[in-house]
Order: sequence, then structure tokens, then C-alpha cells
Amino acid sequence: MASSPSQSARNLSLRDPAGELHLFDGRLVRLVRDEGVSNLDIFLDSDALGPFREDGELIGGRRIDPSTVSALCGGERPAAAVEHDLIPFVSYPYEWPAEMLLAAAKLTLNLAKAGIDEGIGLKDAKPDNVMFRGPGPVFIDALSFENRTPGDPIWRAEGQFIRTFLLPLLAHREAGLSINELLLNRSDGLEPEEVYRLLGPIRRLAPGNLGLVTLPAKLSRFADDSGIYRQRVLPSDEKARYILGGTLARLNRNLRRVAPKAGRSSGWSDYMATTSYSEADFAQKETFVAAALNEVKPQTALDVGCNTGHFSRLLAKGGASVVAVDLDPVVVGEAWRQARFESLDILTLVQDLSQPSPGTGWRNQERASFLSRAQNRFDAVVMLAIAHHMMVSDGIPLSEILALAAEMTKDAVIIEFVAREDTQFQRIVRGRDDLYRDYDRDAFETACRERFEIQRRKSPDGATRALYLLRLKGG
Amino acid sequence: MAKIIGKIPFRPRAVLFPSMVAAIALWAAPAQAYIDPGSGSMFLQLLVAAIAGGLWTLKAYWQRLKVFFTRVRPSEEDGGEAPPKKD
Repeated sequence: MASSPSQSARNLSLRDPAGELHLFDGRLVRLVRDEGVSNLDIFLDSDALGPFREDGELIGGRRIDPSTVSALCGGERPAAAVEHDLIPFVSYPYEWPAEMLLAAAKLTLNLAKAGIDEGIGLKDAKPDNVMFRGPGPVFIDALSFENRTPGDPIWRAEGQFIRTFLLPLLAHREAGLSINELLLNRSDGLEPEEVYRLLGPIRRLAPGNLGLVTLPAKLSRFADDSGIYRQRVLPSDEKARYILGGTLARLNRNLRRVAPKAGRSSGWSDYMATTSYSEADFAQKETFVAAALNEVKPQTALDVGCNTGHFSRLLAKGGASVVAVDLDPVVVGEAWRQARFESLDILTLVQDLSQPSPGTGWRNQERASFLSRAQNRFDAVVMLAIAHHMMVSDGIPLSEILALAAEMTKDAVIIEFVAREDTQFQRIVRGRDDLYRDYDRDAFETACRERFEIQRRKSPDGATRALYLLRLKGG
Repeated sequence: MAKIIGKIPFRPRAVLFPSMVAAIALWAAPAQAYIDPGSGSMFLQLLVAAIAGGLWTLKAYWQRLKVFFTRVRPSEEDGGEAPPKKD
């Protein structure tokens, strides 16, 4: 089924008239039509983009013979073809914390700025053109670069940049809107008029808000039918470049104004400081996880409920390429800052596993669901102090949670059991103890044995928590 | 005179921000139904581009003025210095 022609021939970049993108036998191939050839040349050869290629901030690509891949576009020979490096784990803007959206925005602006003096322009500026390799942003849309008309002082993608980067970040910072919920349904972002209504009369006049929200909202009624999108060409390209540079510098200042504040708090941000663990318990947990890692030696790991990423970092330092998920954007943002600071191979995503990202876009197929990306994908799935939350807060049966873990792992699961007597369990159960009357260590182990073998266990007598290393049966 | 002019930095923002405030003061009418949402951002970019273009032209004249004055001044000083003599 997966290798049927219709499946493999699906165009992953169907909105781009200049080319198509296909995943074919594990190779990511871009077919380029005549009108996209000059864009591809800039992407592959321009000196201005050299530093971004070297830093891995521009996705790698090598020219290949177009005739070898013509089967992908129905036998018609494309004008050019390029094979791209694969992004290890694909993610989408609605799965990023505000910090990552900001990093993607900075990269987009830097690329736009880098090309000005060489006459190169960036014709799109939206978060979909960026993905992440570990904590580092990578610009993936090879055909977004174009030869700028000399003397044209206008950055046509500015409106898109404002709608999809600046206004969601501004609405998040000023009105507490969730970027993840917003971008899930609105891949084209927010209009200034919508954000205007969210702001109070005084906030509307604050410097950043004035230029991004209030003035555009007021000016749009003067702007209709006045030919504002007509191309303007100045006699002096030096003057045009000066104006363009000013536009980009202004957007950069705005970006700093809407940046998420560091050290924000949320329901989960103080978890590490307020959890019921004693220091000795926590050290034991670390020792257990380290020993389990030593045994499994995972190349890839998923950390479910990563919080600020303490154990994700342990996994990454042990050599694993980590995907770390949590439902709270604030703690995921903090985990991202740490991973970026320490250059660790951790991709941090906002994800509620009881309600994971669906397939979105045209026919629900432009962006894949989280589970289809996570399926059978990791050597180890780590679920520390999370299963009881999914059981109690989300009402998911334990057997279902273990079934999901078994679908995502190829080998091991490291999981923590929290007994109903535990103070954390009591805190979330809110008097519904009856529902969990039969939930104890034996019941937990019986459920685990349906799919896994218990290879290692740490369950001190009298403790309300226990740690397990599970391996898939027949694995 | 020359030294003072030479030291005054050229700050486009000092002009841009007051222009924006002036614009909002002029058009602080209540929001009405709009036709093309987001066209305001484009319109604003054009406005700011026009102002910036004007500033660029001013800057060019400013440079010429600076060059004019800084050329005059050293020539005055040169007169006070004795030319190197050959033995």
C-alpha cells in the first residue's frame, strides 16, 4: 500500500507552481519546472547564501539528472531536479513553542537581508518554509529565492511575514493567545484587524503595536483599489536597497518587541522545583534511566512529558537523537532554550499525546499527523511521571497508553508507575479514587506484560513510585 | 561649524517614529468595514518607503554638505604647517 504509485507520487509541495517535491524510496527529490530553474540556481550556487549552507541553516541539495526521476511526474521530463537532505523528524509551526517560531522568523529575515546586495530577494516568508534539525532552524523551501528587480524598494513578502510570524507572536505576548492553537487552524496567520480588536486602547498605541497593528488596521480603508500592489521601480537601485534594508531592520526591531519573555511561568513550569521527589529519589531515577540507556543504547528516543527537558538532555548526552514533547508550550520553550544553548540533538515540540496533531492542509495531507510520523520511529520511548496524568486527567485506559507506546517504539519503553497513594496522583484524582481502586503495581505489571517483557525494575518497598525498562516482545 | 555638522549622526528613526504618531493622530477615526484585510500593512510599507526614500535623498545631500565643510577646514589648517624642506 505504502509503495503504490499514487502514494509515492504525492506532491509534498503542491501549492508551488514552480516545482514538485516527492519522497521516493526514502529520497527527497524536488522536480523543477522551467519557471523555477533560476530560483534553483540561486538556492544552489549563490555566494550570499554560502554561510547559511555551511551552518546547516539552508537545507542541503545536490543536482541530479532530471531524466532519472521523470517517472515521478508522469513521464514528463522536468527542467531540473535536486535531491535534498532529509530532515530527521518533520515538524510544523503549530507544534513549536513561541521561542522556535521566533528562531524561524529570525532565520527568514536574515536570509532576506543576506541577498539584498547581490540582487536576490526572498519571495515567501512563512513559518512553513522552516523546519528544525534538533533545536536548529533549517530553511527548506529551495524555490523561494528570486532575482530581485533592480530598483524595486518593496519587500512583497512583508505582509505574509507580519501575518504568520509577528502577529501570532504579538497576540501571544500581549493577549496570551496560544500560538499552537492559532496556527493549527490558521496557517496564514492573523490579520492586523483581528489583533486590533484584541488590544486595549492604550496597548494599541505602544510603539510595536502601532506599526504592526493599529496603523495597518486604520490604513486598510484608504488602501483599497489604489494600486498598492503595483510594482514600483526607482531609478537608483542603491536607494531601493537602502529602503529595503530599512524595512528589514524595522521588522527585526518588531521581532525583538514581540519575542516571548524568558522565565514565564505556567502550570507546569515549576514542576521540577515543586514535585514530591526528594533529592535522593531523583538521583535514583537518574541512575535507573542512565542504566537503562546503557542497556538499550537508543539512536532515537521520544521523551513524552519532557517538562523542561532534564531527561531529554540525559538521553541526548547518551548519544540519542531526541524528540521531546510536552503539552505546555512554556516548559517546551524552556527545554528548547537549553537544548539550543548546549547544542544538544533535541527537537522540542508542543504535543498533547491524548490529542496529538492531526493531518492538516489540503485533503488533510499537506502536513502529516504526529502519530503517523512517530509510528515505529524510536528505539526508546520514555514516559516518566506521565502515564498517570493521561489516565486520570484525560481518561485514557492504561492498556491504551501502553499500546500507543508499543506502536511508537521499535524496541524499548522506559516508564514510571505512580501509585494512587502518591501525593501527585491524589492531587489530580480530585476525589474520583473509586475509578482507580484496582490500580496497583501488580495490575500495572500485568498490563505491561501484554506487549512487553519487563527487563529491569526499580520498585523500593514502601515507595509510591516504580521505574521499569520494558522491551517489545519478539523484538 | 564644520566639526559640529560632522558630528551630528544621521538618525532615520528620529524622523520615522514621529511621522507614525502624526499619522495615527490624523486618522484616529473608528474602524470601519474593510475590503482587503491586511492591505494596510502594504500601504504602510509604501508610506514608510516613501519617507525612507526622502531620507536617503536628504542623506545624500548631507554627505555632500559634510564633504564640502570637511574639505574647507583642512585646507585652512594646511596653511599653518610648514612644507617639508629638502636639504
